[in-house]
Amino acid sequence: MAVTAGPSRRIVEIVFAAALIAVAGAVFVLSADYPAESAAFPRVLAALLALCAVVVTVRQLRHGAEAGGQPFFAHLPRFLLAVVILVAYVAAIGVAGYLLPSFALAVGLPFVLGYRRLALTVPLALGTLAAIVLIFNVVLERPLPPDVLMHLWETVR
Amino acid sequence: MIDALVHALPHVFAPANLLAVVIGSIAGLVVGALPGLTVTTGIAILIPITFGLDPLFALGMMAGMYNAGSYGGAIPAILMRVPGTPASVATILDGYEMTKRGEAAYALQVAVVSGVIGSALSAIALILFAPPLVKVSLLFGPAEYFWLAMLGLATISALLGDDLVKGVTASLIGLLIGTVGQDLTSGTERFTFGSLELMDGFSIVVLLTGLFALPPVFQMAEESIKEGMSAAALKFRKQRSVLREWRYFLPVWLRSSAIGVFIGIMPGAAGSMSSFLAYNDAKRVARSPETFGQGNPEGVAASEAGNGADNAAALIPALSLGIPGSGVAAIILGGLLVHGLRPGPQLFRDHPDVVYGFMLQMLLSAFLLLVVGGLAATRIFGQVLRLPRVVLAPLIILFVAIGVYAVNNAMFDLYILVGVGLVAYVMEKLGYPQAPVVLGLILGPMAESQLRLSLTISQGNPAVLVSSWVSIIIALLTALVLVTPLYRAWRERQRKPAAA
Repeated sequence: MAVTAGPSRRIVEIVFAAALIAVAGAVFVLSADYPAESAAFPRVLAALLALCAVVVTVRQLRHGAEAGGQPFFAHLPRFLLAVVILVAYVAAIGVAGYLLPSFALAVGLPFVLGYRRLALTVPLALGTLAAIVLIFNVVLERPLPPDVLMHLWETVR
Repeated sequence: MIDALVHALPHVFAPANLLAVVIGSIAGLVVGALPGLTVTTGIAILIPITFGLDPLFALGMMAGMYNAGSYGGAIPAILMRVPGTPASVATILDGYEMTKRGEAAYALQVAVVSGVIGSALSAIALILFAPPLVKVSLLFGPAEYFWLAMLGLATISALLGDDLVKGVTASLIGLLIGTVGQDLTSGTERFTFGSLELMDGFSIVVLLTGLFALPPVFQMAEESIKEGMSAAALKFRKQRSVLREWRYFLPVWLRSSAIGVFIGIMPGAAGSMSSFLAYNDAKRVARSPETFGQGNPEGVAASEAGNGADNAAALIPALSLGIPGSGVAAIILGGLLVHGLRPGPQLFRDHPDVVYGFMLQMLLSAFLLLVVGGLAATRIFGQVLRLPRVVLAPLIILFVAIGVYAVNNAMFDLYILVGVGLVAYVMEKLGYPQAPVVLGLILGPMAESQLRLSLTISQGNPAVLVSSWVSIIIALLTALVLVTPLYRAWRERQRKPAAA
């Protein structure tokens, strides 16, 4: 349970509020370089944001133990896996284009999450990608990210 | 108004725009029916896809998705006791009991017809009330617009979610994001870190998509549900006709629709509240209230009519004043801005074909529900419900990724999308509502520019902000909206020790 659940909701509440205070502080400091009229609005917002975050933190510290002990994640490893795969997917689009990483994602993500029926996921991935190419590339005439498959196709031609 | 409506009619019934409403309705039915996905998610996915298309085509899809999506939630609620959307929780109470008695088809029929009636009456209210409300906004100057933005943010912050502080925090996050980019008054670059991509600020399409489309994907991956709906659940046999029993349902439809429209117009109040209030009202006036919760079709009718009736009504303050009545209306506001359409008098003056066309599309999509949401259609489109959610999650990412990339052909936007999606997921799980972020982003630049304009006109005198009776009223309303939840919380705290 402890392995899959990760940090408690209370901890995440406090960490998130602390991050907001940090952001507010950064906004306040960075605004010092701007002319007064451009700095005033973000500075007021930053001060209010920090105030709200402090209220959330104090509430958690005073009363959070009553209900905040439950785990934040239903299943932390699966969440982390999804995040890593999503970041890798976006990075792969920059390198290999849209089609290959998308196919790998549509088939691979359910597979690593325990769904192994390739007879469903492979045709579904191909069908979805065909529909996307048809809608975006053919009908709407929008360019897809430069794709390694297209380079290969050009080379073969 | 009549002239504008007549002029907009041919645009609405143009084949392409008609097709958009049909596609939006089918997609909305699917999105609403899939537990974990909401209309908000569906529209967030639509916005990048329809970016760059004719506004009426894009808005037609949104109208279809809005009305059909809010009904779609009733399908799993009735068949599986799983609410497809938060608003369909009240439908479960009697709908699932009817399914257990073998009346699933009849319950679905009651739900769809009630949804159609609620949505249609709501669209008529939108057509009747939005244009006169626009005239009120003509009384507004810079100070009044500043307070209007504050009122919009206050209502959305206070009424969406259970926690005022978190609602306000979400608004402030949106307002701060809205300050990124070049300050149009002084030309100063704020928080761009020298990045050319941030010169014009964050793309609203990317933010909307990240905020609303990615959190359900992370949720689906985390839950990793590997079973879809069984095929047997989608086999219906024809039962009684709701339309033949219209006299029996009429009072419930009218009362529930009136409640839904009223709640929809109240800024920030729409959503699941109207279906519950309509349900409670129907139970209160029923001859045999004890049958509610035991499979009374009036319960389904009340919940679905109330649910449908707050849809278009939530757009009344959104289109005329820029204050959305619900979270979905806030997203649609974002969708309008993406197409260069700013709510308020200019929208009605400069783009009458689009705004009246959109209102007619809301009405059209309400009636289209009868076709798209009927039993045969539910059986066909409901096949998507058989897909396990773990398979569905990456397919959503495929659409979202290409839609966001296509806006600026920029990889930068995809990285922003992932970052925003992660923060949005944490916010959602911690109970920070996301709609105020969007509204902060939309209203922030307006609030700042109008505030600065007011202060410039008054040579820096802040008293200008309360120098007219309209400003004072809106400022007081804003304070009231913010103070009411605080007062309620204080009273709760006073009661607790007394009870102990």
